[in-house]
Amino acid sequence: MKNIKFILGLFIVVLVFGCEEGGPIKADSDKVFLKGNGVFIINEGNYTWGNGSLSFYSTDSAKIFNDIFSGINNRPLGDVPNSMTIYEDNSYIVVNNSGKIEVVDSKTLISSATIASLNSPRVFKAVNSEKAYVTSLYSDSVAIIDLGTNSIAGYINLRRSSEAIEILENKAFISNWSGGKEIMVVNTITNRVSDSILVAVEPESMVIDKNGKLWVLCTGGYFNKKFPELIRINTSSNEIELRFLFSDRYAFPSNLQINGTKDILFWLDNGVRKMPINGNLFSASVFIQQKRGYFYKMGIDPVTDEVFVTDAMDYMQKGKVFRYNSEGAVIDSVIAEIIPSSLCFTQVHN
Amino acid sequence: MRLKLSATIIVIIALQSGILCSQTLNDTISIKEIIVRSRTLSGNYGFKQTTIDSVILNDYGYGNLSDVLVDNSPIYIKSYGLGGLATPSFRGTGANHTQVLWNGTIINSPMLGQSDLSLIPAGLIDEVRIFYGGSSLGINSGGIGGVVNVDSRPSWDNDSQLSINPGIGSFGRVTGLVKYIVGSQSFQSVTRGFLNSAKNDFEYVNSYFTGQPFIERRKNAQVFQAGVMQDFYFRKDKQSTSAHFWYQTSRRNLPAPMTVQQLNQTEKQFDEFFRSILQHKIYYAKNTVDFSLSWFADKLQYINKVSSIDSENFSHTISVKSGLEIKPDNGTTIKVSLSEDLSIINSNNYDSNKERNLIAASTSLEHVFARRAGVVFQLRQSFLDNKLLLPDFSLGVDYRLLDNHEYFIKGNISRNSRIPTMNDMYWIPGGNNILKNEYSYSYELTMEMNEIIRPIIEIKAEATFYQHHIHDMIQWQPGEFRYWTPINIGNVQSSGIEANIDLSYSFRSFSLKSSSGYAFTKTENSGWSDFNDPFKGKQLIYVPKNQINTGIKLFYRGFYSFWIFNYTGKRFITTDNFEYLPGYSDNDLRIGLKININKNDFDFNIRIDNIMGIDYQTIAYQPMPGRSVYLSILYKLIN
Repeated sequence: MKNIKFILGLFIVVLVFGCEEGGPIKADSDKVFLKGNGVFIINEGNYTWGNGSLSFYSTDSAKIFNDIFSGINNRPLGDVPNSMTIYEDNSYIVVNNSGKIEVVDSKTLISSATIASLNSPRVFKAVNSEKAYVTSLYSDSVAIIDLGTNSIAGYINLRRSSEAIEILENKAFISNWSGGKEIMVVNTITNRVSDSILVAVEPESMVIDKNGKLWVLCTGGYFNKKFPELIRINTSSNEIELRFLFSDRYAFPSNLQINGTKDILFWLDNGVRKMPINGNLFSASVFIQQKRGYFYKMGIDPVTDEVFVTDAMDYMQKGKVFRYNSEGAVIDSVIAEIIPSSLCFTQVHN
Repeated sequence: MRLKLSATIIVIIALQSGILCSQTLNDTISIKEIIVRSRTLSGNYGFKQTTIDSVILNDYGYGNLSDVLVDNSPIYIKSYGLGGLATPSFRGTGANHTQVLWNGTIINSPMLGQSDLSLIPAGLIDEVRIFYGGSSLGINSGGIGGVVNVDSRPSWDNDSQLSINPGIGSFGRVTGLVKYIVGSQSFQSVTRGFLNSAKNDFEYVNSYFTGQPFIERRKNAQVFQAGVMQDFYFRKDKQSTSAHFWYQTSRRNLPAPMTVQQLNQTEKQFDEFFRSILQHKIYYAKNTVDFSLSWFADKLQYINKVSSIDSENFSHTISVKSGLEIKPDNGTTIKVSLSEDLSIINSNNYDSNKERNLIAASTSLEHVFARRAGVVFQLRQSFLDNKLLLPDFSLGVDYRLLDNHEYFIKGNISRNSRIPTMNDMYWIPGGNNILKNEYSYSYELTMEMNEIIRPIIEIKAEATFYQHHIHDMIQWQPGEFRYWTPINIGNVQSSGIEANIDLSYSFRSFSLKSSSGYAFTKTENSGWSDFNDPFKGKQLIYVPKNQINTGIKLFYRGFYSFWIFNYTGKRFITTDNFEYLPGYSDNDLRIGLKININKNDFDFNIRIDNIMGIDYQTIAYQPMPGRSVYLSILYKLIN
């Protein structure tokens, strides 16, 4: 009888020891971050793993703060965050595979709203203080967000998927990247498609220069069937003014960016390349060499023209962010989180 | 964490000793007198191999092969939950380093190089044999971690038998298993059918999606599986023939992780296959000749509505094998075999239909020295699409330490290689058709002890140390053109310890069986060509260092009770080991009653899984069900 009690007692002990909690645990998570000048780094995390996160690199102190959304809001950011936009007092973090936008206070990063039920959202762009547009990779519509209520106010049917978005005056230029070759023009007053511009295969990224011209980088497609192209569009007439054809069909240019004074273009193509807006593509040699790994995304500090480049390493460990000065010399490199991707600077060029 | 693990280990050991103590005191058993059961040395010398027989498998009529292996082996299973994808990690290796065979023929997908264990219903299997490390070489190459062979077996004991096994459980689970055996002493037909359906709509606390934790119900996790298996066995004089047919269909919705809004019907997978094997054996004196012909046809369709993906993949594999076993009278056995496997793939992810032809010739030489030691040497030569590959080999030794005692020491060394999968070579985009084979050098040392202490207590214990050095490991990495591509990126070293102790005790109408296992696995990258610094020497992701499983079975007349305990240690989920899933302990309980009325056997049982309702994950952000109950009745009519 004694032994039966002993066995039963041990059985209960084992059951009690069996109680453990099961969610992922991170070795570190910053709950605060140094406010001031710097850049937010969107870490995509692995697709469907839900380990996307937000980092902040303080350019004043040259220090990185990782996983700050989770540290401050006590929950993960979501699955594959894609982009972040600061508008007035709020920041909008688009979490692609979670189908949501996290609205946070720009200064504290405390979450104030979650805009859910979006279909594969990619990029948020405010039209004015009342509304914003959100592009979508896997639906044929752009969502209209009511910034007063932080809710979906409607949709603009493009009949094709959408990626990059630039707004100038009353026109929104929206690229039809995945499998497409058009820039859709939307009247931001009526929220209707007013025009479309046939460019080249897969317009991936766009910027507007100091002359109000729209530059479009077309990758040539996933399978390199067409040559990549860099195209300049007149935003008044919606017509192509200039087009540069890349000499190598197997080049894979991406991530077109522009500096603070909006007169130098930058993009990734086996390193960082740059070209003045009045320059020639053939003179756009490698500005920053890609020595190891693969440069994944980049951004240009709008005030200092410093170049920030992310390296996702093997996509299964914390990636790196490199900081270069405007001459291309390395200033710093820091460890971010899993798949550091797009960048969002706190300052704007005046 | 360490404290919990240590405590758990202590409790397990204490529990085992407690059982021994209680029996010794209550029944005043002297352990001075030892009865030794003689185990003759027989084949596979120096290699570790375990068998899970039909008695154990009978308890898993509701489940699949992953459920069986979780409870009865040190193999770690990565599972997406009930009916979801379940892949094995054998001794810290990847899923495609474990070969899964059905009646001796590989059923790993030629495209993926791995098997989904959730698609192998335990109710359709009569026996599972696990070959560890290099011991798999005699069957097939590529099982760097090991081989799991599931077999159909004839039972010549009864002329006919019908069994029906319906079940119902939590989360909309409905199962059914029917088995009908009919035949004579020279012919037998075994027909099996099964059905498994579940809504999987369990509730869990989601702390990851919005600011406040909330109770969420699992969506889009429905599973439906149905299948039939037909086996025919003939035996006459010195010949035997068997034919096996297996058709199965599976539909399952794939649920989103907790960090994603739960939507219905966005991601789903259909699996359908037909497999057939014809085997023939001829016995001449002590020599055997065998032939085998098989044809497998598999379909896998993956649909992701959100991402507009509709991936359709068809594969056909035709295999021919022949073998010769010669046993001269001097304790030597010579085996020679020749096989050819032709795989044909039709996939909308390849640019055209692809074929692969693998021819392998293998030979083995076994010898027993004075009934005390056994040695086996195996050599395997493969030709892939008419290209000669480097040969694989193994050498194993068994040595009985003491006469009349079953204390053995075993050791082996082997070289094993794995050819890249068809997806590694032809997937668009990224497929790389100039990949080299992965290869591994493995070393293993085992101590084994079997003893019967009086007729009522039996002990079997085994401890193994192993080491695998895997070279030219194939990994998918981001490539120059932004899409991922597989490359031979580096080396991985896996080493560990496996320890098992089985006890059985019986006294009058009471009997007790206990089986406990512990596995320590250290698997780390050692010398990658790129991205080197941050994770050199780090544990590979989703490989627990510590695992414990214990099963205790009590029988008293018709009543029985099983308790199954599993501890899985923490698993890193990033290669730099910054993030991990904590360890968890899972307890399952089963209570039943067996009644016999003339030729009718009834077995009523209730099973409670995850008794403590712990919150755990085997894949990050994929919740596992809490406490669940399953009721079933097994009815057998024996003529």
